[in-house]
Amino acid sequence: MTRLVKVVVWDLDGTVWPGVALESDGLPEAHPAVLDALDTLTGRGILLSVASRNPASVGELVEAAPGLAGRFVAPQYGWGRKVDALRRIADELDVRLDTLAFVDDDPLERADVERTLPEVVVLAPDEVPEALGWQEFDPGPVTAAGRSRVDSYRQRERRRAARAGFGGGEEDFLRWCALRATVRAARPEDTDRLAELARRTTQYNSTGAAYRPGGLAAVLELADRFGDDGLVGVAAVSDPDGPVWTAELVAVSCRAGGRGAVPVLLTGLARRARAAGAGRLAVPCRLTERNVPVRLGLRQAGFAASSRDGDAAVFVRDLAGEPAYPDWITVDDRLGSA
Amino acid sequence: MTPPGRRPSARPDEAGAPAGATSGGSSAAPSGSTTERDVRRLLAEVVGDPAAADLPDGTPLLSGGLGLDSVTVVRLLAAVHRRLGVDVADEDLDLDSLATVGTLTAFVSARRGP
Repeated sequence: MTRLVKVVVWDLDGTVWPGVALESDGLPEAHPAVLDALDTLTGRGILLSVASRNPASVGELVEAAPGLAGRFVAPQYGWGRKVDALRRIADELDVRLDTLAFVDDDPLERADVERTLPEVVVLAPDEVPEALGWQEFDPGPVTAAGRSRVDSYRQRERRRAARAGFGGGEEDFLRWCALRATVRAARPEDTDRLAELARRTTQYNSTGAAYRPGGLAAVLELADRFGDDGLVGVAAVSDPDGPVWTAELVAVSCRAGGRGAVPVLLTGLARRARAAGAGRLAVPCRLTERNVPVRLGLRQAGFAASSRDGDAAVFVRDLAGEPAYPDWITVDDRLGSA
Repeated sequence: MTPPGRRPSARPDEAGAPAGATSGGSSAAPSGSTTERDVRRLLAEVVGDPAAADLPDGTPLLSGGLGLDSVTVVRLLAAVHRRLGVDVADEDLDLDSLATVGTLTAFVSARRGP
């Protein structure tokens, strides 16, 4: 599968605008071609960020400039290598380095990134229009949730800041956030979003399987006092029948995974399976370092490994007792028992 | 199935310990084995706080304790794999070893030797 670019990181001087901001009277006007590219990328649900050697004061000007304000997340200003700026961006946005693209007019900067971080897609500004046609920049059908990704990352920034200033433990914080979840069956109009979740997630993805409509797919919507994340998770069972249900795909957005989305979603599915008379719920899962988070979620939801085959294992939850939702979240369970 | 020569779980007795429980008798931090010190050093590195190397064994790594987020857990396991040669993600299916500082050092020590 072709990797997908999730974030395009822009240099500013000579790249986004001609010339040098600090030598200009006010901010130079951005290249129209760059503004077009920013629009195109945002329309595809791809995030934009900045790695600039300018001081943070230029960042304030960017946030006041029409056409640029509010477009960049986790921007990095100041001296220091762009390589480190890219690492910090990947860190703050919770994405892998190989989902970053970097645009800079300076060949030395590009060479340094290419040499140190070969997994990053490195582009000169004049290569951008062509690159927009590459597969790496084509995420497939983009949903409303995908397009509002920038808002969602901003919410997360506010949530993180609140967490840092919050004295209590993790669960007390989630309670304070007034976390609300809806668990329901997937509807036909969810299909694009679910395919997108299956394709884009890695940390909270059990098998990497593509989403296929059919059977029963339990989906999770999440909201809290910081905003509404919409549809953030899916657990799909192609054959919801018999004594053992198997969820071939569990995929949860990383912006929701840290808030207990996996155990809540799987608890909902387990309750439904139990109501339908199943005795066990099984989740096959690849064993990689990258998806350790989804396995921690399985563990929280009461699953344990039952068998292993090469680099995959099957995790099983017994349904003898009724699975209970965690007490730090309000759940509207619409999966029902039918 | 578990490959020959690997024990299925390092410390099954500690694995299910409730959050905040201390592992009796082995709570001393700095005077551990080489492997234990190595694991603690990597932990301090990924959380960016030298004091994390000296946390009591019973400190939960996830919620109720250090509260490591998913990215940090992934980074910690990658560091342990690369630098100490123990692939926790592959060898500990249920990830019981991620319960506390002590369960992780015990797991890695059992695989790598003290």
